[in-house]
Amino acid sequence: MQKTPPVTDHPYRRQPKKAFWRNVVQDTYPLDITDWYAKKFPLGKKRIATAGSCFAQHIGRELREKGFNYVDVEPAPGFLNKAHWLDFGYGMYSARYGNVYTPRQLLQLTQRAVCEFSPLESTWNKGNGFVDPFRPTIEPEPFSSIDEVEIHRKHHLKSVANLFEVSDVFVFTLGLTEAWLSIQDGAVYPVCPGTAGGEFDPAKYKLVNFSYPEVRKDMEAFFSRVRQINPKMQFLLTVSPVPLMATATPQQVIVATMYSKSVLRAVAGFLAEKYPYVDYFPSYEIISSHVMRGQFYNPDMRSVAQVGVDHVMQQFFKEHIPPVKKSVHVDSPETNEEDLVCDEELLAVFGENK
Amino acid sequence: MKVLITGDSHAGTLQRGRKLLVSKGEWPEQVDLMIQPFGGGHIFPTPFFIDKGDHAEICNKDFRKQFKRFPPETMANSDVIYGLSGPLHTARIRRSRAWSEFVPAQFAVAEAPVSNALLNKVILDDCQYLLKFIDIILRTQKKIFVVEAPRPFKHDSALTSIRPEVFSYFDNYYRSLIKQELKLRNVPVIAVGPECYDEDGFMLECYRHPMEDDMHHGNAEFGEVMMRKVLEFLLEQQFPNNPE
Repeated sequence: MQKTPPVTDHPYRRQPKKAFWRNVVQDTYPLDITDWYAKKFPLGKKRIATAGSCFAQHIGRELREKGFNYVDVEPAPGFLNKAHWLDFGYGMYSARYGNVYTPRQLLQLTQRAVCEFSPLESTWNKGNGFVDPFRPTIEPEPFSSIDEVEIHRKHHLKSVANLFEVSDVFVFTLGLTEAWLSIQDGAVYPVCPGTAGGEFDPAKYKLVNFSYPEVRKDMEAFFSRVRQINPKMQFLLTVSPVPLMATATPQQVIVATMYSKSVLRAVAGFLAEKYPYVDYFPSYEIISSHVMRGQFYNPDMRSVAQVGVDHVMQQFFKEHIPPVKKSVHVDSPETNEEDLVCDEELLAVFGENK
Repeated sequence: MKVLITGDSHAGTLQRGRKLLVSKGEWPEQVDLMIQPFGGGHIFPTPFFIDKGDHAEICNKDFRKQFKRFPPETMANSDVIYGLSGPLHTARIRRSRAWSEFVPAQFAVAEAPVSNALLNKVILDDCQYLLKFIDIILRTQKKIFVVEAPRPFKHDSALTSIRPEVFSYFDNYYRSLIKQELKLRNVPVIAVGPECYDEDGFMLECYRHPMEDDMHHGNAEFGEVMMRKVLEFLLEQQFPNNPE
């Protein structure tokens, strides 16, 4: 009689259900897939700041709306209608830096904020005015003078330095590996010179497509510098699922996107594995993984639909449970006292205000 | 000549001025002028009317107590000249507490700088419905002029937290921008003359409203000054683009 062979032990036997494709994907409706993320550290009441490429805007907005302790060191003035906040870079991130696409840009932003780097080129011409090359689209119109650019930049960078001091967790969404930099001093711009100000000159600017070692080195330098300022700072990394709008490399844009995202994803994974104060949240996978059938993209297959953002944030909030919202005290409108005076004036002159 | 002046509570000051002139026997007989404001100016930055092509249907419930439509139906086919107080009243934005933390870039010390583009957006937002309202009146081939509200007063309590130079700068900036808009539309402005304010842009104390806690209305004397200007304008018919 043949004996049943003994069950051999191996590492997969001790793996949880979520480790197996069959369990997670094969017989599961995509929206029912679970276990995307397990937090490394709680957010709780920690003060949270955000930066990154455009997808990071959704994360910041959701955190704020859900009542997390969201940091905004450059809030909008009360007299600006909320409908225009984004036009002027308010409420987009925790400071008015606009989109920060690459780790090098983030590192240099930090260095500029703490006065360790002063790019040689500090303004770009645009139309009849001037813009800040490091956030050229932060306002809908160019500033009227170079002095005005400087005044705005000085306040902004001071605010960014403050941001690192007052925040406990810095959420950064890695967006791109391609960037344009100054040949003269290596300053990295968020957009190609000539597209939103300035003039493209191949003798002054060059394209760089950062490699894995470069991205990793920049991120580690960023962590190190920020933790000198704020030794308890924790970092939560995500990778933007938004593909490149265009590539300046010879590659086809989908191929270039895959390279870029692969490098960023690999670095983020490495950093989260290596450092106890770094976590990784897989918004990139939740949106762009083929198991999701591309359903979270708009018809352009690039921008992420709100339903996708909602689904991503649902997975996030399963682990980081939003605080219970307290009843919000609404200040009486600023004009109330004035309104009363106006009514009194009308009554005094015209009698009953019929 | 029939004239209807409407608008915000500063129309009350004009009414006081009109009464003074009448009591002095200086009101010109040929000017049949009525003042009937809509109500408080805080409503003007809201969509207080619906554009019905040849008139504005007033939809704010408080304003509707004064006019159901504008021009009023009874005046639709007459040669009434309209005066409007409101587009050059800056206090709604000027008195915002935010000016203690945000200032135009050239004033920035510790405050956050704001750009001219942002100021323009804020002002045009504040005045958008009044400008559209004026456009409807102009579309109906009626004559309309705007009466400027007093400049800020030095006793304004907002000045305890807002720097006077910022307060005055914004006030002036607002008026200049809206005057440009009115000029584009060929709408004449009855302006507050420099004899009414000091070199820093603040109203002279003698024009202060008698009520202690009134921070922005002028008194009857100021109303008289402005009403004299209105009369001078009307009698000379200084419309730059006379629809007739």
